[in-house]
Amino acid sequence: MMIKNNMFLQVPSAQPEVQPEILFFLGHLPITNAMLMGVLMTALFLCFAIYTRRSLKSIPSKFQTGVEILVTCFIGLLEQITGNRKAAEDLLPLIGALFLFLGFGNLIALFPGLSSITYDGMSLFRTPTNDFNMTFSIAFAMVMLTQIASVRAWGVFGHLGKYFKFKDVYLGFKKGIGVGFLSIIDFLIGLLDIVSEIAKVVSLSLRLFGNMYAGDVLAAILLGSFAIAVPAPWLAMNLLVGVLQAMVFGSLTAAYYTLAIEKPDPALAH
Amino acid sequence: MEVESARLIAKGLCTITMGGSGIGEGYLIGKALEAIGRNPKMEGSIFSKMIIGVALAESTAIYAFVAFFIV
Repeated sequence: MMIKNNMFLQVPSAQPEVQPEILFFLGHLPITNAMLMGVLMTALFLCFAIYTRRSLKSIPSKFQTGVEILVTCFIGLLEQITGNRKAAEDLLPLIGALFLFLGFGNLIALFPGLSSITYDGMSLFRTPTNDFNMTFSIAFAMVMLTQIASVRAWGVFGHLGKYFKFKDVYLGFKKGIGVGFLSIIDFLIGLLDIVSEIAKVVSLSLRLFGNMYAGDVLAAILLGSFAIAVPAPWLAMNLLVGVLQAMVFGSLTAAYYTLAIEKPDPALAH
Repeated sequence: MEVESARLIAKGLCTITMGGSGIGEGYLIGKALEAIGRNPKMEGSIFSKMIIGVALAESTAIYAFVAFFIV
């Protein structure tokens, strides 16, 4: 491990690769720099959680007040999305952790000097969310979670009935030919929903990955042309984008979850 | 046509998506400002929702960006 002394505290000016660099092999498992950073951050969060849990007092310290403000913010945001307090509190542990992990993960590479630490000529740390494997696995896990929640709320046949609307077609033709043909369109839309579930995974993961990657690439391009002043506002903008994308990811997951377990409105049922 | 020139044309086509993203974001922000003008008390709520909307609209441009580098 070494520190490049000529460019310490400097944004790397070489364009980053789409794939994270493989640092070493653990058995047959390649360890990439993004993975290393992810594991490091998980350990940090574990310490943070244990420390917070242990230092809880009824008269809060400044630290505890900060954490409480954060939690209240998350609950408020989730309450806006899910529409009721109970669902917001149910979702808080998952979505709150997503907010924190992704938000911090997006910002961690902006710590000055961290990307200058190299090993074998490769940067030892890379933004963990700047790795499509990471964002894809989180997005996939979240969409699977909404599926499982839907099965739990609706039962297996109720859940499958959302996509294969045989029952609607049957009931529609019972009412009349016109309603029946309309329900066939509903049936096709239901089939399209299967595609949209897959599209959800792709769009969630690509959105986060693309934003982080774009940030790095544009910082490198700007640094190549303007060495001193111009990259600084861009990096400041990265701060905003990082927090925003974590928020978007968390809120979209909460919205998908709410939509999946939502009971149909009896007034709208046909 | 050589592969490299086809690739350059494809990259150029990818940048066209900036137009769509720009139109979408402009429309979104314009509508949000209109809403704030009608009801200035709601500014905080509208502004935060607008920012999330802008991030969502921007993601289409980001997809194009990813495609730009994959091509």
